[in-house]
Amino acid sequence: MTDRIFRFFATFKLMFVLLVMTGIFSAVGTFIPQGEDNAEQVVAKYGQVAYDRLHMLGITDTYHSWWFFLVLLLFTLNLAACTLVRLPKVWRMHKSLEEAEEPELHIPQTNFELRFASELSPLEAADAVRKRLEGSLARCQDAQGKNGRVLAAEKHTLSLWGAYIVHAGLFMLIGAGFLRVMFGYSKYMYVLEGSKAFIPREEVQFGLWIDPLPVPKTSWTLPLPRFYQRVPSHSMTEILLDKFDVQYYPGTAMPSLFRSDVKIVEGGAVIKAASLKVNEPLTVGAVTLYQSSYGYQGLNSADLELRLPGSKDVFQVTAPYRKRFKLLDSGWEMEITDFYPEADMAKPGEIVQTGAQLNNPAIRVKFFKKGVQKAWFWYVYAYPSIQMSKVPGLEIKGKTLDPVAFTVLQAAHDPGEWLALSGALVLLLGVFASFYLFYRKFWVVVSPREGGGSLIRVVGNSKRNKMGFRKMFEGVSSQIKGDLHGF
Amino acid sequence: MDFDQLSQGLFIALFLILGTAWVLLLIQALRKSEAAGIWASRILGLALVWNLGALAYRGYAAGHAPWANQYESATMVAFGVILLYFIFQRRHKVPALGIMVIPAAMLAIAAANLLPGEYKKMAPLMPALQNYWLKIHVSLMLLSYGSFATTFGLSLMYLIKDGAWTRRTTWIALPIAGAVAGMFFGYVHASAHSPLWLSFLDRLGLSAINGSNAKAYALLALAGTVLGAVTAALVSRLPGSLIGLMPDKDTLDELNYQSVSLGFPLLTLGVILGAFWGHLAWGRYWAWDPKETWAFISWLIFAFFLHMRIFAGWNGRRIAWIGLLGAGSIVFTYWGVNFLLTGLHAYAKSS
Repeated sequence: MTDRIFRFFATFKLMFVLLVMTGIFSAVGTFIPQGEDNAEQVVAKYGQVAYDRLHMLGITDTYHSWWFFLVLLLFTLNLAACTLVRLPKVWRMHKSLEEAEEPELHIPQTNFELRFASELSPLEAADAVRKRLEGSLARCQDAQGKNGRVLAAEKHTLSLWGAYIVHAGLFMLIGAGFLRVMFGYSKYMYVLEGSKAFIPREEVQFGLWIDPLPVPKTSWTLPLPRFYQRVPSHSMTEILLDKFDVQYYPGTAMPSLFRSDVKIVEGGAVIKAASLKVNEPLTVGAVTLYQSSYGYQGLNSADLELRLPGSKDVFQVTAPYRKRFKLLDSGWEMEITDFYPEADMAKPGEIVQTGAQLNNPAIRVKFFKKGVQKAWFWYVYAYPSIQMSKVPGLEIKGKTLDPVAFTVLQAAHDPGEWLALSGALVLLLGVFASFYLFYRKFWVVVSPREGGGSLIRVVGNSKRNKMGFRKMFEGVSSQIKGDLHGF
Repeated sequence: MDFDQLSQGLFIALFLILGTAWVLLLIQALRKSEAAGIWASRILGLALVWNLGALAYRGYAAGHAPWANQYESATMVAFGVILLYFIFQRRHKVPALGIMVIPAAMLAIAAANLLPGEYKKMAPLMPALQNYWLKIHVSLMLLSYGSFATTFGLSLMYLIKDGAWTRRTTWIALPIAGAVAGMFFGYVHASAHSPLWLSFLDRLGLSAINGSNAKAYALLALAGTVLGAVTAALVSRLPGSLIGLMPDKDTLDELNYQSVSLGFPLLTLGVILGAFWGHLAWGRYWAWDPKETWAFISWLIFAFFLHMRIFAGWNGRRIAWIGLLGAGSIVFTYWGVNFLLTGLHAYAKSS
């Protein structure tokens, strides 16, 4: 039974089916927007009913669905079984010639064979052949066969193992992925400029938990055992965002750089100061922090030019955020109540926030006289002429803004990191061995010739690059023939 | 003439140089002219140097490695096609292979030049791309894309030699490819609201904002079909004329395998180094982003090609079809993902 299961997993047919399934399933996930974050997009495109069905089938989260994991698992088993079946064959190729009962039987049938005769004695001929093989290939093995001496030399034996080294690399990568999924995590943290936030952490617990599974159309529940759970763990380490800096390419809204200058705080004491940039993460204990994105939320202040009703004078104010203040002795007061860094007009008169980047900033201002609100409106910096003030003579002009930045950092823990790195290197080594090293082996049988001299049989074999090997075989065999004055 | 115009001019000139080399290769094959063959090699050598020079100029003018958007990457792919073709031919010297492979480089440059204007402009790099990995990962991926043009050429040659690809196949394949390309061209210009697309809609009396533009797409599909049919009329007899020149089927099969041996390690290295970069920039090696996923699918197809050929004893026609499928997957990974799917790698435009 075990043998049958093993043989089933070691078939190329299964590999064919699994490769096709992996390809198709992977492709499906690229056409349907994935994850909860994109649910609205799927609903808008295909409708709620279609979304519900896709969601039920796991297609809205293909790469985390049970069937995708199952195919990957079967694929891993298939890979392992195919590797185990083929390993002994390669191992046999390495078997020392001296250990073989009949060395000549080890010589395979190939298209590369040359036979000739030589006046040299078998002993002299074998010496000359050995020298030539060691010069052209590598160390030469030598054994006595029934018909004569058998000499063998090979080159680039690592290439025989190339495919298996690739497979080993793939197993390591799969293992690294498993470790990351089981024990790793990735959390986003938002830190406002000048404030602190704890670095999020998670821990894995093993035990027995029972989850109630509702039975459809009944009030019954089934107990579903669970042996694993992840819980947020208390972190003592905080990140203080000292300063967030964005620079733009001149004349564009495209950032050329964004950087978080942070301090790592533990137990109230600063233990480290660093700058975080994209491509330049920071490791704090077991967690690595990546600069992910940024945005703006709230204002420190805004510089404005104002003209009040009944006055011709324009005056400058530095307005605080969400704080009502007096406009000189005019009897008027104002307050900036809202700030949208990226505003858009949903419909006439309705301003909505569409993003956190400083792409189209707008502020909502309120004006009061003698404590009574007289006007409120949105002021959009890019369109200063559109002022929705209903109070004649009230004008406002935005000068500069001092928004409060926040940084978005990704805190990730990946216990499989080193395994992934090693697996990738092993895989690359395997690919190198497979494609850039060509295994080649020569056998030469030197047997005594009736009437004196020797009979020589040269056989060559190569894995892959048969065309390149033809030239080599012709070269080496003719050199041997020349060395032995063959005819 | 500004930097952009000069850079684009250099690549248009490259297209003409490659076209001249292709015509000479045809003359060499059909008229058995040795002189034409020698000149074709020289002009291809010039094309390689010209391409390198045009890339270097683009890099100098843009201030970064010249493969940050679709236009730039296409010119790098053209370089990959020519370079890997040269490397392959240096070892194997396959007659008529250039006739099949060089059009891939020409097509890459032509497609890049048919992109909307804003897609062709040089632009500064976003912070995530300001890294040495851009030079390493992207160049390797683009070279691997280019290398599979040789696989495409050899697979096609095998199928022609084998009789599996006939004149009828050409008459079916080219108009279909033309129709798809026509609609894709429309889709790309529609997505960019390019002036060309807007004036096209205007002439048809259609709206860019809320109208159904099926009529515009149908017209482009029709134009593509006609163009494909005209091309088929011009080239459908060509494979028949080249059969005598092609190596025997076994040699083509072995060469096909050799070409994948050249491209597959490049693709593997490119994907793995991309994963390293992803780890550094986004905190994960692999995120099933559409570009990653399609690169993985292409990798699976070529891994399948290699396994079936080496271990399962597949060869000949089946392997050649898999080679074509792999080349098709590479085209989708490169063009389809950038324009039809969204993700972190959608680099059609620089910004």
